[in-house]
Amino acid sequence: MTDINARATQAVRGVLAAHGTLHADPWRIGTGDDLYAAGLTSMGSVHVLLALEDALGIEFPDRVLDRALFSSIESLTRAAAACLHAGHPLPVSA
Amino acid sequence: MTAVAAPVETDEAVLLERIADAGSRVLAPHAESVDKRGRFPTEGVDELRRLRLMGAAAPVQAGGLGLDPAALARVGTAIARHCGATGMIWAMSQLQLACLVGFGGPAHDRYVTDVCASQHLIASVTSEVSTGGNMRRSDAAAVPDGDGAIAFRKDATTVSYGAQADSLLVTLRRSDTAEPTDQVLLLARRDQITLTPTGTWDTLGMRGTCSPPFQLTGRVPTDQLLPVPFGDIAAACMVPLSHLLWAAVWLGIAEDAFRRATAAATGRARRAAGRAGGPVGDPRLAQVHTDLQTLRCVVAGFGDRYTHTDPAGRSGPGMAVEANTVKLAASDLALRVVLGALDVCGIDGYRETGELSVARQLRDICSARLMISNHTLLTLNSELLMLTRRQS
Repeated sequence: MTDINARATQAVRGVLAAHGTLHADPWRIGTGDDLYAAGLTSMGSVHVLLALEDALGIEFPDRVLDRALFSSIESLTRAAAACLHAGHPLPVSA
Repeated sequence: MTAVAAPVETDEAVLLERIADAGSRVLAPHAESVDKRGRFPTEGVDELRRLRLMGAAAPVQAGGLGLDPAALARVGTAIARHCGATGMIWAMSQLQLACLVGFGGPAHDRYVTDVCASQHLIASVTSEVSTGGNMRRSDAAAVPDGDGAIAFRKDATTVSYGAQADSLLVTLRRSDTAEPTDQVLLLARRDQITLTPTGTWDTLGMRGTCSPPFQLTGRVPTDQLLPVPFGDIAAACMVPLSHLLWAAVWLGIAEDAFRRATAAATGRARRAAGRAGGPVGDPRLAQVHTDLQTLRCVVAGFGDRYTHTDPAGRSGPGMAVEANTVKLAASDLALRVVLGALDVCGIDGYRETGELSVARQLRDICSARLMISNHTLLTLNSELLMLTRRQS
């Protein structure tokens, strides 16, 4: 689980750096900091979601896709780690 | 009749959840073989029986689920998301059941209890070789045959799931001297008739409804004739409710196609996310969604309107125009949604198999414009509008 957490955190920060449109450096902000306050837009959150799914080879279940998911690195990491742990793989054909 | 053994779940939210579960577990996995082989969806219909859904339109006191028309429409959509043929079979059976509940006599009331207890499937025999698809004309007649019985013989052009039905509602001329438009509706149980297929059902879509032409002959107790003229039943129930429930089934098929289109567009955007420039949206998906939302409004709006119209007010020309319009709009919108989904899914949508295939949905939805042809309904409505011009 620790490996999974580390992998998820790394992916979340990397994806935020590429797609998050944040004012702050995603590699330096705190895991609990408010990403919306840091400049994440709703369009940016879609890009973060897709890039994160692509990077980790997971698909988030619909029920976790809400505004709160993108509120912090911590919540994104927790959800991504849960997917990796439960094995929500991407659909083969998608 | 004995009471239903299992407790009957009538809460709509719980029902919809159970349908979603049965749909993904049973209906969807069998939809491909049902379609490919043009066979009756036995597994899916058995699941619906397990959920007591064959009695959905019957009152709770008769052992049914007591769902109103709007709720029946939502259930039809939920079933058709997984298998269009299963959804249509269920919808047509509920339509027949609703006619029995609303317009039957004592013999029909007793039979409704049987339908709920034994989860009967009821078919409809309105078409006829000599009159074509015009439901409001019959050539075959109800002929007195002694001992309080009537005999009949009818050549029908299509009888959906006729071979699998437990009973059938048959339109007939009132007598062999009556006008073709002076019709009655007769309940015939399967063991009271002889049903001979006179052709096959090898069609573009809706293949699982198993709707070949049949010749029917039967001898049935007179009290199985519905006590109300068929014209009244058609105007107040069979026409508007059929258009509502068909549209609801088409909505389910459209939702299935839209779900696949969303998966295709998401997959592409996700793959693009790893590349320079980042993910991009597909405006075609939003266009498909716009049509889908319009379709949802059309179905839900008419569902509420029909449900909340007093039964006595359901048979006017205004309701007929509106029901016909719902059928016309829904058949067009649903086709547009599925065609749009095909564009979004691309070649994977064109394939007959796979998670992104919309081939079966497209073939199934083509039936919508023909189930009472849109051309006929446009002609009919253009005339009715001159009658209702002050309100429409």
